[in-house]
Amino acid sequence: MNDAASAAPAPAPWRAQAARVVEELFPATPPETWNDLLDLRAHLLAGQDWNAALDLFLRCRERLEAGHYLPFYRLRRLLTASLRLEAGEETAAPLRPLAELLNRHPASLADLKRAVRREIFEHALELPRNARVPLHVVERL
Amino acid sequence: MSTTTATKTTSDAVAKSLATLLADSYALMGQTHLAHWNVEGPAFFQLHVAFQAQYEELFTAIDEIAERLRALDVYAPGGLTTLAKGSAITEQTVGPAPAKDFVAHLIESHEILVGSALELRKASEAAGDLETQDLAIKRVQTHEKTLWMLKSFLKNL
Repeated sequence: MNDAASAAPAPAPWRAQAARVVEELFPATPPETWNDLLDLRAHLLAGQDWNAALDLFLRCRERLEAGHYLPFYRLRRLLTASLRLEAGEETAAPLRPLAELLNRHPASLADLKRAVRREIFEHALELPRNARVPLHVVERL
Repeated sequence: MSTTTATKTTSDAVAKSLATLLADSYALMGQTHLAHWNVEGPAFFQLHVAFQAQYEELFTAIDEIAERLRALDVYAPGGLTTLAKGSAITEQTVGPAPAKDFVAHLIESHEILVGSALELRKASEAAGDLETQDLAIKRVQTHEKTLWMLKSFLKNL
């Protein structure tokens, strides 16, 4: 197999741009945060699991945003323009845009999903109280 | 013959870059005005006043950029729709937002303006148009200075 055939396709421009924002954080952040930042960078560049990517973003933001607002603003803008939250088909209630959900500062994806499910149950009274509404982060196509 | 063609091409590049700088500056003025109106929170008074100074400076600059186009015998583009189409600056969503988001959005917009002004500087240098190059250099300086101020402010919010 030659190099051209084995080379991974170039990431989408927004992914490459987001990865560059994360790279700029390394020299300005403590080493104990680098593993999460490395994982986030890898997810942004080549990952397919957007739930994991968004969870990493939220966890990194929780730890670092106070001292690094601008890079996390840039990442938030890129992520919310490219990703959306999707619920199972049985859920008729419209979901709020991801940008609005991230402005509420959830500390993790689990926090974000908990808040969204609470809103769904408040508006969809026909759902059984123990129903587990599936929520997934997907790329906008 | 070839010299004439080359001069025409470089002049076209200058006019195109001036039109882009004009559109981006107009869009940024609109976004700065929006921030001036809608910013909220403990930093309101500081930001409200700072944003006003910035959009007033942009208003003057826009006139100079458009008049430079006219001095080159090119009609200046105008009208909100035309200028919006010619600009790479995005619009901030209207609604409640942290003051820090207004500042961050304007930082990204000023970064675009630095890029547009650098393009103009390059095109006018290639065309040997020192007057336009001088205007471009002044715009780079102004936007870089504003970036420094906005970034410094963001660190202390």
